[in-house]
Amino acid sequence: MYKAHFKLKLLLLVSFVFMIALNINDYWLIETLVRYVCTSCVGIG
Amino acid sequence: MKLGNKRRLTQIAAFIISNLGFIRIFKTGFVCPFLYCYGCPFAAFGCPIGIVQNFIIYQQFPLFTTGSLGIYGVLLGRAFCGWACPFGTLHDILSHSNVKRSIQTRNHWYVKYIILLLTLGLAWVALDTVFCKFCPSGSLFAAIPFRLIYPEAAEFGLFFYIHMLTLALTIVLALLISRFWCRYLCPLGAIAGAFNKVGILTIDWDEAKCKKCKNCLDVCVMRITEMKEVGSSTDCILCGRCVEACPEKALSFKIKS
Repeated sequence: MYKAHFKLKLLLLVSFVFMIALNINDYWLIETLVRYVCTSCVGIG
Repeated sequence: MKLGNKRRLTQIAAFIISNLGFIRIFKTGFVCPFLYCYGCPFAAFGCPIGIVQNFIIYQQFPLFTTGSLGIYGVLLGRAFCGWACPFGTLHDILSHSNVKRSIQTRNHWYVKYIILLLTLGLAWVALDTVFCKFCPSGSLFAAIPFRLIYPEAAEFGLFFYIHMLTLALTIVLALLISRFWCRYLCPLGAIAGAFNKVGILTIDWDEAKCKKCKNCLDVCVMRITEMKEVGSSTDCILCGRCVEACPEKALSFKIKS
């Protein structure tokens, strides 16, 4: 039972790592969003 | 070192790390595991809720952000809310003296899930980061610092006053209800809370040692009312106040397999 839970968590973790690895290009888009002013957040639009 | 001091040090460290973006090279494309506005002029990471809304606007599935939140969640559940979130830290400061007087009920816990659905739905329909226009974390960490650093950048318009109103309301309610935002409204808390069920880190309750004094529930800022929910409830932020308060050492942090 515990072994099955552990394997399930490991599988979940690995799938999340794959999700990131396969979409690593999103990093640059997020970096751009962080670098530029979010008008909604600062209350100007 | 006492657990409470460790928690306070971690919260200060998380706040400093979140603001390393004042050095340009530290503005990264990683998403942080808590609600810290990327509109802050010093932000080093992206706010997951803001980033997800932007991806919805671009008609893309936010897999990078989902994967990041998944890893944070599986490893530490909702511990980031209790140990790192700067907005949660503000709530800890505001509700320092009112925990025992705070509302005990967990009614309306589901409102944060409605807020999450509304956030995603409105981004899809309006093609705008609608939640960010009201977010009190953005008001405090982005709108105010932005005005202080760039006073000539824009006039004080309607959206700025909406930000100030939501922040003022949140502060007043946080003074009356401990961790008000985290308990009832935080959409990121809704996501992170779901991982408490599968997270590796948990708080273990040794029923044999427990004398049922309920000191642990008295100090709980999230007002968890059942012992069996400590560590596994979607509301538990794994802050460890209950662990500190237990005279019998019946509660402890545990890595569960």
